[in-house]
Amino acid sequence: MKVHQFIYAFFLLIVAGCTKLDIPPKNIISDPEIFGTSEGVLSYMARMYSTLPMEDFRYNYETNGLFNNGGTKYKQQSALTGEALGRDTQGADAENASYWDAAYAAIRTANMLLETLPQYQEFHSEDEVKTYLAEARFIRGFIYYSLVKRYGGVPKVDMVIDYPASVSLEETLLPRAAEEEIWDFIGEDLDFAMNNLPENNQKGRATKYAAAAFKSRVMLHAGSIAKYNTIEEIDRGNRICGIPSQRATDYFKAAYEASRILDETTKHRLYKDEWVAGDAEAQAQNFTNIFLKDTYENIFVRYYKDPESLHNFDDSAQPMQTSSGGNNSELCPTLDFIEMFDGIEKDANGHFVFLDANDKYKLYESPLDAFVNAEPRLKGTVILPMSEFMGQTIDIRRGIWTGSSQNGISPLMPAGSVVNYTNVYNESSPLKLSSNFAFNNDPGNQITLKDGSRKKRSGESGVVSGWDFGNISGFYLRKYLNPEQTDNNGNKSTQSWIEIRYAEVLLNRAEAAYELLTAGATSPGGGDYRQDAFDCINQIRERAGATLLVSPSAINSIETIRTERRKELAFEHKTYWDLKRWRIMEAEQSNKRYRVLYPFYSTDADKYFLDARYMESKGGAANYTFNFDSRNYYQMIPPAEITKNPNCKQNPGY
Amino acid sequence: MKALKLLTNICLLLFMTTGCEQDNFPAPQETFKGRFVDKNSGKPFQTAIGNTGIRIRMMEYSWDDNPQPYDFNCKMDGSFYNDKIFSGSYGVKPSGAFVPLEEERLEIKGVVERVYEVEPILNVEWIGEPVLNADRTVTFKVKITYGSEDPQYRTPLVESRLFVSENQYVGDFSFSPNYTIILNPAQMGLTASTILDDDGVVLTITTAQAQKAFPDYSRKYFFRFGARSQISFDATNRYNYTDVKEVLIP
Repeated sequence: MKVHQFIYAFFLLIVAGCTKLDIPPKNIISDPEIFGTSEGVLSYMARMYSTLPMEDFRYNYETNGLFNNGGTKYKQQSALTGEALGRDTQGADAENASYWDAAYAAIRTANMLLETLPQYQEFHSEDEVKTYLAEARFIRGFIYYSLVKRYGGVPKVDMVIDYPASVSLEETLLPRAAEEEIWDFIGEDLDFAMNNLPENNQKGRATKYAAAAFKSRVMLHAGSIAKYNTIEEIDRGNRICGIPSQRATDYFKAAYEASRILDETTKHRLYKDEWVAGDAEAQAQNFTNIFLKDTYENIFVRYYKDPESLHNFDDSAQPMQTSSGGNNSELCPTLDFIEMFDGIEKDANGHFVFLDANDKYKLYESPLDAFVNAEPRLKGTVILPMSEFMGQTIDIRRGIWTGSSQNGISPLMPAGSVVNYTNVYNESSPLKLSSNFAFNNDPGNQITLKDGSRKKRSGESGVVSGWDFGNISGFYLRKYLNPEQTDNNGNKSTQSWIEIRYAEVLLNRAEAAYELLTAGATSPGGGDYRQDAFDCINQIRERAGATLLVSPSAINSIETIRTERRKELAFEHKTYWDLKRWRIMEAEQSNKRYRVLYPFYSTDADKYFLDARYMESKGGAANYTFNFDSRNYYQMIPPAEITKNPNCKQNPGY
Repeated sequence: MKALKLLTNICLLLFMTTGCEQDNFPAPQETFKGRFVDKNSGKPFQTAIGNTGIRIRMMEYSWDDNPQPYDFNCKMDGSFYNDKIFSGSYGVKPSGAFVPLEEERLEIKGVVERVYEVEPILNVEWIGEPVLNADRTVTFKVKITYGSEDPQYRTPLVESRLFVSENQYVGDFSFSPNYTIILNPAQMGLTASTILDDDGVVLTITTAQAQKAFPDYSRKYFFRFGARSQISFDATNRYNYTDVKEVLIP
C-alpha cells in the first residue's frame, strides 16, 4: 500500500510539470513589438533616418563606410571641386572608400518594413501606415540614388531576400540592373512617397515636399547622365553604365514637374526675413543665417544635438586664429570661386584685377577695399581677408614687403608661376615670409612698421611658406561656420545639415527648363521654359544681392544657370556631383592648378597689396595639381564585393 | 612559490615559441617585360605614363577563376618592365589607345618577354622638324590619320593638343597649361562629326597660339603632339602621341 502511495504521488508530480513551455522569450524583441506598436515603428524609423547616406558634416570621403563618421575630416569634398583648397586635399582624389554593403543592409531594413508593416496595420491608424510606408519608399529611393550616382546600375533588390530559408546562395548573387532601370525605380519610389506623405511631418522626417524636391534633384541627375555621359558598358544585355540619350527629355520633364509641386505651398520659400532691399550688409547677413537658423527655406534637414549627436565642421573649417585647438583651415576658398561672383573688378578673361595700368600692384588701406561692391552673397559665403568673424579681425597675410614703394611695387613672381615664394625670396630679400607658425609667432621675427609698431609676417591666420596649419588661399569659409562656437576643438558642433533647401529646387527647375528648351520640348501647360528659368534665376539673384538678369534673353547659355548653382550651393556637397553629372570635371581638372589671392603688407607704403597667382607648391607631394581620372565618373565597386558576388560586373577601367 | 613562478614562466615561454614558425614567403621575383610597337610603322608605340597610357591587366588564374586584377602601366615609349611578379598562370590583357587585344594566357616564370604589335586608333606624326621663328615662337606641322581599317575605330576627332613641358615627361599627365595649345575640332578645321579620309588632316601649329609667350630667358622646352577621337576604353579617352621634340628657345 505504501508503495502504491509513492507511485501515485510520483505520477502526480510528473503531471504537475505538464505546462506548456513553448512561450516566446521575453528578452528578444520580435515583429509584433516592433511593427505592432507605434513606439516600435518609430524607433525603427529613427534607425532608417540615422543611417540615411547624406553627405553631411559627418561624411568623410576617405573613411570606410563614408557616412556618419566622427573622425577628424582632413580631406574635404569641397576641396575636390575648385571651390576651395585644403591643406590636406592636395589633388583630384576619388572617394577612396566604399558605400556598398551598408547600403544593401539599409535597403533590407526598408524592404523589411514595407513587407511586414501591412501585416500589423490594425494596430495603427490608416494615415500612420500610409506615412510609414511612404517614408520607407523615400528612404529606399534616397539610398539607391547614392548608389546609382556612384556606380551606375546596381543590383536591384525590392524585397527581403529570405536567405537561406527560401533562396539558395546562388540565387542571392544578383547581377547589376541597367542604370536606366535603377533611375526609374527611384522615380517610382519617390512618386509613391510624394503621393502618400503628409505636408507636415515631425522635424527631420520626410514630407510630401521633401519627396518632390528630392525627385527634382534625382531626375535632373538622370537627365544629365542621359545627355552628357559617353561611357557605355553592357552586362547580360543590360546597359549598366549610361542611359540611352533619347531618355534625357523624359527625365528633365520629370525633374521640372517635380520642382513645380513646390508651387502648391507657401510653406517653403527663399529665406528673406533679414533681407533689406538695397542694404548689402543685411543681405549678406541674411544669407549667412540661412545656414545657422532653422528657416522655412529648409525642406529636408538632419538635426544634431549636444551631447548625443555632434559633428566637427567648425573644427575643420575654423580660421587659425579663432580655432580653440585641433584642426583648422581645411577649407580655403579659391580665387577661381570668388571670381564667379558679381561686384569685383575683373579683366576681359574674368580674372581679378590686382595690378594697375603700369603693371604695379594696386595698393589698398585694407584688402577689404577690393571687395567693397562685392555681391552680398559672397560676403555671406566667405570670410574675406581682414573681415570680422567671432569678434576678431581675420588677419590673413602671406608676408611683408620691406622694399621701396616709391615707383610702385612690381609683381613678385612672373605670371603663371607655380613655385613657392621662398624659391625666389630668401631671408635677406625685402620680402619677409614665415616658414611656419612657430617662426611667425616668435616676437623676434616680427617686422617693425613706420609708426614703430610691430607686425607678424603672416598675420594671425597665415599664410606661411611651408606645409603647416593656417590659411592657404587668402580666404576662409563663412557658410555654416557657427560664430558662437568658441570651443571648436573636435566634435562640438550642432549646426543642422540642410540636405535640401528651396533655392536648390529653383535651380533644379531652371536647369531642367533650360535643358528642355534646348531639346525643343514644349511645356504641357503652354508655359515658356525660358521665362520660367529666368524667373527662378532672378529670384535667387535678388536674394543674393547680385545683378539681376535684364530679360529672359539673358538665359542663353547653360553656363549662366550652372554658375548660379555653383555660387548658391557651394560648400553644400552638391558641386562635386554636379561637375560629375555634367561630365565636365575631366575638362576642368586637366593639369589644373587653382588660383589664390594673397594679401601682402608694404611697410614703405603703409598699405596692402594683393597678389593673384596659381596655388604655390608646398614641397613634397603638396603641389595641388588636379587631374581628374575619367574612370571616376563611374566609381570602383569594392573588389571584395565582386569576389563575394562574381555576377556583379566591375565598372570599366578598374 | 618560486618554483611555481618558474614553472609558469617556462610554460609561457614554451607556449610562445610554438608560434615561431617561419612565415616568410619569398618576395615575387619573376619578370615580365616587353614593348608595344606600331603595326603600321614598326616604331615604338608612343603613349602616356599612368592610366591614360597603356594598362597591362594580369589575372592570376592559378588559384581562382575570378581573381582580383593586378594592373601596371607602360613607359612613355611603350616599353614595360616588371620584375616583381609571382610565378603563375596569368590571363594578360593590355589596353590603350589601340585596337583591343584579346586576353592571352601566359605562364610567368623566370623572364618572360613579349612584343605586342598594335594598331593605334590614330596615327599622329610630325611632318618635318620644328621651325624656330624670329619672334621666339616655334611652328610645328603634324598629321593625323586613322590607324585601323575597321570602321568602328574611325570616329570623329574630339580634341588634339600640342603639349609643352619644362621636362622630358610630357603628355596629358604632365604639361604646362601656359604654353600648351588645345584644339577642338573647329580649330582643326573639322566638325564634331567629320570622319577623316585616308589623307587624314595636316595641322600647322605655332606656339603663338598659346595662352602665354615663353619667358624672356633662354631655356629648353619639350613638345609632344597628342590627339584623341571618340573611342575610349576603360572609361578613359586616351591620346595617341608623337615622339618628344625638344627645342631650345633662345
